Amino acid sequence: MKIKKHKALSPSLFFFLLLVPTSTFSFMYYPLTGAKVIGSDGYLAIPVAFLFTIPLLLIATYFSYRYPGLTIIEYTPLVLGKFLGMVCNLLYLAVYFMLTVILLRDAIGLAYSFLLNRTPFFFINILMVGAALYLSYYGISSTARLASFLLPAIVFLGLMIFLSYQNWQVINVLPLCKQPLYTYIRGGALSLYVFYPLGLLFQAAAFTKRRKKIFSLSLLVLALVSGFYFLNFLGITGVFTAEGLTRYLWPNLEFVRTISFPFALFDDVGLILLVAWGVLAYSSTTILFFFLAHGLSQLTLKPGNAQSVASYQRILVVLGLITVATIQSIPNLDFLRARLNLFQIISGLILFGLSFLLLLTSLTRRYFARGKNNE
Amino acid sequence: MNKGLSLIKALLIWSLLLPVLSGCWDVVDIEKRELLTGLALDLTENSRVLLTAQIPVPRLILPSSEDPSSDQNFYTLSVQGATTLEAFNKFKSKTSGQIDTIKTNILIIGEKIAARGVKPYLDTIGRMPKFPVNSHLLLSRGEPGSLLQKEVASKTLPTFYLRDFLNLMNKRETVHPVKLWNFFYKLDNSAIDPFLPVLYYDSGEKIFILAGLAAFSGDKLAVFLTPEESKIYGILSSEQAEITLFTQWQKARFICVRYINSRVVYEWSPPQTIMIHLTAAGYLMEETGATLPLIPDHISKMEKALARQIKEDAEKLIRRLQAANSDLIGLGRVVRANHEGKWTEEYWRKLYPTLQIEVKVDFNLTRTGRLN
Repeated sequence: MKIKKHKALSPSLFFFLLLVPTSTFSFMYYPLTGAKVIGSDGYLAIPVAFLFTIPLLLIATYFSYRYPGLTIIEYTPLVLGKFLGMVCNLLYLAVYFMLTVILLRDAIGLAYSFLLNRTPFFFINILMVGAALYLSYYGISSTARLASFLLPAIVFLGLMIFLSYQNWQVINVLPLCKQPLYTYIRGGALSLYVFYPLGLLFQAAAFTKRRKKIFSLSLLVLALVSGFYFLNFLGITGVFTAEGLTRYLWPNLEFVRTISFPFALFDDVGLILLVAWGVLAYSSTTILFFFLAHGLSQLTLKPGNAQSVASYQRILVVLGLITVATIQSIPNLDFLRARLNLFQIISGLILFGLSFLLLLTSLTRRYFARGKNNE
Repeated sequence: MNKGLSLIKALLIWSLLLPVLSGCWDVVDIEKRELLTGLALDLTENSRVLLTAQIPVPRLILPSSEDPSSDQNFYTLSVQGATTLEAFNKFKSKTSGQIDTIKTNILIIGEKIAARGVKPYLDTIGRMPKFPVNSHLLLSRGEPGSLLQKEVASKTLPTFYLRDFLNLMNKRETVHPVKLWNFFYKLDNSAIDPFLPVLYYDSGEKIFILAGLAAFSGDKLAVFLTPEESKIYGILSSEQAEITLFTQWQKARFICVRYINSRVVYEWSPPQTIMIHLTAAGYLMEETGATLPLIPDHISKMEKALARQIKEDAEKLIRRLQAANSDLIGLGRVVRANHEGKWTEEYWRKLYPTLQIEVKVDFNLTRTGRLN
């Protein structure tokens, strides 16, 4: 197979590469977390989660300067040593594998429930994974281009959220700030998973043309997605109330389905939302697949090959088969949702724990290295 | 040769994708679909669930129909079961096509079910992913199933007639439409009670009449409101409507006002009082004395008479609702928004009937209709 170099990403492609998976992942069910943990003002969990995520971006930016052109998979063994580096890398990739499975299972579940309920589940599974693999196969530029091409879908989601405020009542989002401070901090910490796809920055930073823009662009993505989720959550609570929204498996979809302009719009706008989100979920999956396969291919390589790896394509095929089998083995969405909390906590600990561990170890090593040089 | 083999291989691989063209599995011709446009939910004498569905015959409804003048462009089916789902599943054995609820616009609930509590009977509908959340709910005091079989003077399907009626904003004078999602929102919410519009049929004129509301306490029917009371409810709650108000403002002189909008502010004064401040506005449409010119003093008197009338009616309505422990206005939400500690439904159910609710009304006539 001819080895092709991955083209470096322009700032706009880099931006969309982060924006699409972050805005898509958990969009359909996220408000359930905040509503269950905090209650009627559960939407305040989003600003708290926003603040908690900023250090993650700072750490990823720091490493992009410290190890230019290297991904986390390459520099973790350099910082933590070979064995610990390998373990941490595997844990990191396991988080993103689970995230891919969760996103895909939700997308397939929605398609199965609302659009293709006579189609065998297995075929939808193969179709979705197969199509995502096809695009990931052609590298990061293809996946990023698709993501940038889907800006109208994100705008459409935003517009739908805006229109769903039709039935919004301020009294449903009150009382405000009546819970103890600890509840909001806990709610924010448990809502961090919304931003887990932003952790891809640790890999994506190696592919950017302009390192100087990494932090500003990732912060912009974080701010936009936070605003988007905040408005969305505020809207859903204002229509269904915190206790009411827990009735729904996909509160967001039901929120949009309440739109009613009898003589102007379709009967059920929810189905259009479903298609728009489905396309975004597909694009997010291609991005996740690429980084997973690329990460796995780098596990055994020596540092410095981030721009020249091609063997990820073979890994991609195996990864696709494993993903299909994993999704097929999940009996239903309730099974996944019941374990979602556990995934959120473990993944959060891995993602944030690993980032801080890397930072502290790197800083300590630099400190001691300086000391030695001075001697 | 190699190129030919590669092409065959590629074609074989692509042909494997043919069964994956999943849309094909879900294609069902409209003639083979049993689109339930309306459902009626009732109980039999031995307490079994009785479901009646109205199913249109597409080839007699579509513009290119074989016999557009046919009166029988729909048919109804009834099934029974121990639960709603058990009954619903029996539609399958009574029809040749695929049962589909994506176009169910009307759901009529029988009084017996409302009196027992609607939650267990509506549960399955709330779990059907494709059931339209914007479908309209109504309550029938007679047999809801029979209403779906009625002939309408305008020769349209009964459910289409009702859907069109309920979708028009200017019909909301004495009845307020209730959509499925909104009914569930109130059922799930411990600080507001749901209601349903009441549906009748006039067999003389062959029309449906929507008059008054059925107020619930939790998921059980509590009290029926007259059309006049429904008007006042519309003013007091967030169910805004354009209505006509009629009152006496001087001896033997009456005015009729087109009421346009209001601003309602609910103020909670713990432990026992809620103040409702209502600022309403409307147009003068009729004055039986045909008084001209209308001087500011006349207008002021009219405004005071209207405010007094609304206040009296509102207080009367609130007392009725309190007696039935039915919080249709959602005053519980006001109390909860300012409540310290854990909110419970029991707390509100105990407090609500004993609350002191005061109404203060200001009415402004923004247009008198004639240049003096």
